[in-house]
Amino acid sequence: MKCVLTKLERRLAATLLLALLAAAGPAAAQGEEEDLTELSLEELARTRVVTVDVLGGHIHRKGEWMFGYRYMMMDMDGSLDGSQRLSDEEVLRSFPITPTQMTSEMHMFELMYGVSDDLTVMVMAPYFKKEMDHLTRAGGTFRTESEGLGDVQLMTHYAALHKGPHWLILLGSVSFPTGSIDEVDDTPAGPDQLLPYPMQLGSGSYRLLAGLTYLAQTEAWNAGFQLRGDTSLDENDQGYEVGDRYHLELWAQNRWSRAFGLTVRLHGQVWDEYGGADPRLNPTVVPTADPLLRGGERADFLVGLNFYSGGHRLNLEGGVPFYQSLDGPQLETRFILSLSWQWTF
Amino acid sequence: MDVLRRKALTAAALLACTLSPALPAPAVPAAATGEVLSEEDLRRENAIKAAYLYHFADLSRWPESAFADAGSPVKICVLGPTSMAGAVAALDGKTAGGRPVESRHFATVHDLEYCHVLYLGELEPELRRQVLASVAEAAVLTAGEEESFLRDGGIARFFRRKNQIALEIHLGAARRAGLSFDDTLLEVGRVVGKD
Repeated sequence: MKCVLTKLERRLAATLLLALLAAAGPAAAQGEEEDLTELSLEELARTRVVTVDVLGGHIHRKGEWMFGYRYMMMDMDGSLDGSQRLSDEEVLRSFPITPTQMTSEMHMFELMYGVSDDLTVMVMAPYFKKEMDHLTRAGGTFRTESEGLGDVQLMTHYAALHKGPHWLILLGSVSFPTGSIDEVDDTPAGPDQLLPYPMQLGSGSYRLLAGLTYLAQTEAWNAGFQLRGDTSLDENDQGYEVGDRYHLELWAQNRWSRAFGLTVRLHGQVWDEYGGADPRLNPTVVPTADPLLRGGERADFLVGLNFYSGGHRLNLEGGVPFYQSLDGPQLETRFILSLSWQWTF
Repeated sequence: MDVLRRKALTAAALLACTLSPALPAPAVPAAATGEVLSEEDLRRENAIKAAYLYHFADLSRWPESAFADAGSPVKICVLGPTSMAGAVAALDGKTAGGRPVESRHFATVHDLEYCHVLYLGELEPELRRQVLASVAEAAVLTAGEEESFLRDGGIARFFRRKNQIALEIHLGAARRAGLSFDDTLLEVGRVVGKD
């Protein structure tokens, strides 16, 4: 599959984005003043000053919009079985083909709206670009690529409890099977071969997510944890379902000044193998085509820098796993990078 | 994959979440200076305080002599350096208490008796005390934020409480200035210094 944006175009897009930020930041800062005179005195006394920040999402104030863009890159290299590294040769004893490296890039577009001071709704549309390199038992190599829209997600954040700096927030979401599960590319087996599970762009199923966040927030600090899990409601058209996934995240965020802040985050996740199997894939050819080799658990340590200007926030975050145990052979995650921009208006 | 281990991990995390309200909060210093507010949050804070000033103009009663005639504007002024100036200027053209609102931003101390509502920005403490003393007997509703603002003779003070802007009103200082308030204003604000 062909990449829509060349490297040069991507650099130009990044430059344009930064230029937009530089230009729009001060403009927004000097923009129109908000008029709250229509609020009653009781409503004014209840109005929150600092936006509640929930892991990059927010509890927005009533009537507030936010547009966000997030770029995320995950690099995977080498194979793990449990926590033990396997060489390509070891994998090739069991399978004629092994993946050696994978890069997954995601462009996520987000739109949030504050329905009330306690309820924020959010739509997220991911766009993926994936590349996977392979080695065959005969010593040949080849690369497959897929690219396109992932599963669109509709999410709500509801502030169920709020006392002083303490918040208890409920999350709920449904994701729609808008991402393809029929991605193909040329392989040594022939042209337009169905790609294995991790190279597909969606789950093919409706998925439900529920979660709970506790956080404590002041002007300078935001710290808390979030537990969330998602599950498929049914099998997709090809008779399989992506496994359940559970996340536990702990974070602390400090704002040094009006313009800069630092975030430290621990992200643990556990995910199950797939249920059922795509009949078009042969699980004996390559480990990524085996639905029983999709489960695992991983814990990442991430550090992020936040830049604020007007209604804009730019976040640059990088992290590495400090624990991984996979139903292997499965590709080992090496690092995660993300750059996000959010604009509240 | 050890399914039991996963279920145990999940159960532990769920238990931690369930117990979270009972757990002590992380050490979060109660920053109240506004120095680390984002520009967006600072704009929101200023909009809240400007709306309070508007309600002061709407729900306070001045002596008749404070206005030239029935159609005279109610004047909301800002004195000194402050990020509030823009939010107060945005009140221009509104109507409060049946009068048009007119805003002014003074960089230096002069003509303060021109004002019906006067918000004091970031002034040196001594200058602030002098300003408050100079308008103590005039029909000027003074507003500010410093902790000693009411002790120094001010009438209304804004302060941060639980991520919201709360209000304190010194009723004695208001009476000395010849001002009285609608009950709704007193119900929202914390009344201090009745004498």
